[in-house]
Amino acid sequence: MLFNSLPFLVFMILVFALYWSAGNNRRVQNILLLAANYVFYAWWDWRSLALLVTYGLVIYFIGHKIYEADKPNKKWWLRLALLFGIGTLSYFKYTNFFIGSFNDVVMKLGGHSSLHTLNIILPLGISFFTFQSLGYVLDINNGKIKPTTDLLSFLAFVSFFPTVLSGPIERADNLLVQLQQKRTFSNEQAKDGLRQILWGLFKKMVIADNLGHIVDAIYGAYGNSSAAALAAGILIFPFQLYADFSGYSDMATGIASLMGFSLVRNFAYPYFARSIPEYWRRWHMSLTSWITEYLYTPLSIALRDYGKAGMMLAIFITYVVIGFWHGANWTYIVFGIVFSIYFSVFLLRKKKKKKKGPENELSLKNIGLMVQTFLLVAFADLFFRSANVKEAFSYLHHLVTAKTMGNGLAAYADVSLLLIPVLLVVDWLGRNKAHPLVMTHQPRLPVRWVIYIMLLLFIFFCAGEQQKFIYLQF
Amino acid sequence: MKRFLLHVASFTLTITLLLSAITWFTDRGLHKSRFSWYEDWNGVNNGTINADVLIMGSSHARRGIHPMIVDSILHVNSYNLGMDGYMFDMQLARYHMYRKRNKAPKLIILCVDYSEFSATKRLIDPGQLLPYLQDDEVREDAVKMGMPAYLQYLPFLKYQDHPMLVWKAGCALTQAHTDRPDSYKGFYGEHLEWNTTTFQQFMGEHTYLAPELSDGVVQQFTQFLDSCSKEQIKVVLVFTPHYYLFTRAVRYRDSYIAFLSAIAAQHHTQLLNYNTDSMCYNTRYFGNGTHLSPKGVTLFSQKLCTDLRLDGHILK
Repeated sequence: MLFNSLPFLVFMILVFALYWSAGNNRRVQNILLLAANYVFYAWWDWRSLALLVTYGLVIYFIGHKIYEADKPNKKWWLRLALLFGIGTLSYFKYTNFFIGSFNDVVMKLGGHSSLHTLNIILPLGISFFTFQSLGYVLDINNGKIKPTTDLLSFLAFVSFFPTVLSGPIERADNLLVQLQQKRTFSNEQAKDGLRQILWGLFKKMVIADNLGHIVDAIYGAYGNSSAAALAAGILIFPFQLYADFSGYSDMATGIASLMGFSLVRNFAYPYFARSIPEYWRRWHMSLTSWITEYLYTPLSIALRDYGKAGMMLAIFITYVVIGFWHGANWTYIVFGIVFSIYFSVFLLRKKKKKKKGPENELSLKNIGLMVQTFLLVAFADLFFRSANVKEAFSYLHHLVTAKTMGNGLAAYADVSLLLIPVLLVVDWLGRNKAHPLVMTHQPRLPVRWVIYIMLLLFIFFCAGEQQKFIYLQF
Repeated sequence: MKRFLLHVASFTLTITLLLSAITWFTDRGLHKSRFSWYEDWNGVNNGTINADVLIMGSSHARRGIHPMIVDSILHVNSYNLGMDGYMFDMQLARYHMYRKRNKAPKLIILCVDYSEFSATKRLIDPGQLLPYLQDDEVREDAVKMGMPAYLQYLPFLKYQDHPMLVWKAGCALTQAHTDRPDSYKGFYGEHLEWNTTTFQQFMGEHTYLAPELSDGVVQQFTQFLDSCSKEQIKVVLVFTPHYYLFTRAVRYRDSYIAFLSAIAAQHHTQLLNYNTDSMCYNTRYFGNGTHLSPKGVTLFSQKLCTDLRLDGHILK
């Protein structure tokens, strides 16, 4: 049941009607919401629903134990929570990766391994609800929040259907708090939610799916393409990824708004970032802030005695974890390593660098830095997009050795490439808003409707062939 | 809440009306279009074909029998109603539409091949069917072949993902740009030339070739033969030439031909099998294993017409 599908539309209309027909009765609303969460999740994969429910119950229980325990026991309960969360994630997501990698190493050493990969079904969204749940127990451990006594709200928090599959990764002090509060219908919030859904649909169905078609063609035939076509593939993919993932986030946030919730912002015009750290502050912000708070900061503190080396190590571990969080593939690890190198170089050069201009200004200097940052990101994304590391290096090899022009480039020239500048311009114009369709100046109704109708017609007539959301696999 | 629902309802109504208008406009335009398949569908729908000899079948008909040659040899008005990729089920739906609006043909040349009596599994160029979904049989068949069922109830959604058709409809209505038909009386002359590597690659990828039969389609076919017999429409079944190495790779081919012969005998029709013809051994007559090259089309069309004349299918 993809957000951009007819079954979801029917599901959402039903949920919306039932949810608000409960009046302002928070408990009934939460019961309905929890039921909707489980139906939505089971629709995707009913076999993994038991895991999601168990996850919520175990974390709820441990959260209380951490809060109630004295200091030494607190630590043990926290370790148990981490073991449970990371252990479950590792089992479902990484077991076969480790077995496969072990077998490869043994084979390369001339030995023979009798370990076989297991038939494990990866529960959808496991990376997202694991981080969301662990964030809750870590916050309790850090004294940031108290454990909730409302099990219903907590289970709804862990399985919240707009975010359960691909985020944004919510924090308890935002979403859980809202789940425990009375929610009244707001006309403005609901309308804004619809606008954000519309913009998300446009990004996903028109931009991402059309660009995806081109990217798939280039990556699928990289061995026979010209260097120009291969370079185009590297440059186009980041836009596909951005439109796809931020489109999903917009839809998730818009759907939550329809139910009276405000979610954290997940993207803030990332391709206008002027450095790699700034890029990560604007890209998948909910993951970045989670990792920064619960991994990078504690690591930096623990390693601060080792000076620059300690800092580098903290950065390295953080980005390898970010990469590995995405998927059980060496490509994601290399993706993380590449970013850790960028970040380290940035930090080492930081003091020598002159101050940048104001953030929201398109000066020549800023544009240069933005282009430079984008190219670095695009290079790292090559590993993200490739099926395996060998393919990524083979792609790079062809990029360097293939004829500059000729076979390929013209075949990929598609009118949908014009959507890239459209995306960039709209992003830039809407940079100070939660999403570009926020109507700050409230233009007249016909003007607004013309904008909405134009977007809908584009979605209706110019959508690319439907592709799954890229981040659904994580 | 009421205000919100009112806004959503009025917006939904506006967009529905707009899409309905676009759909209506596109239907009208495509009904006048001469673009590719619409030339044939519009002829069928408008009752302007009225052929003496109707050539039916899949791509083997559409790309294999030239009506110009048929007309010149048999001195008739023929029309090729072959449909690329569609088996007898959809061919029959179009034939029924044809019969509603055109006079009965005197002779039907029905090309059969190894997959003729299987159910069409997927829609080929679904855009060609969209302006004709008001026809119950076409619509029902299209849904069976994978067209979303909701289009039956929400017809204003049917041109979703087809902006070019809206554009073509606009061109046809305003006559800003007239498409020139790329076919001649339904015949689509593709300049296929033989390529041994491609053929070998195809054969390597298709290791299991066997005729498929759908009981439902076979039943439709026998009913069709019965109804033609009642209307005194002659039907000749024609097995178009296939390259011999392709034929050799097809399993159960003899029993399939026997099955066709039995049906033909049962319904007092004739089966002309060109699958053992001398031209099947010469690659210059083929574009691929199952489709003819331009030279092959000319030779085959001539042979077929000569045989039809010799066999007494001379029309008065």
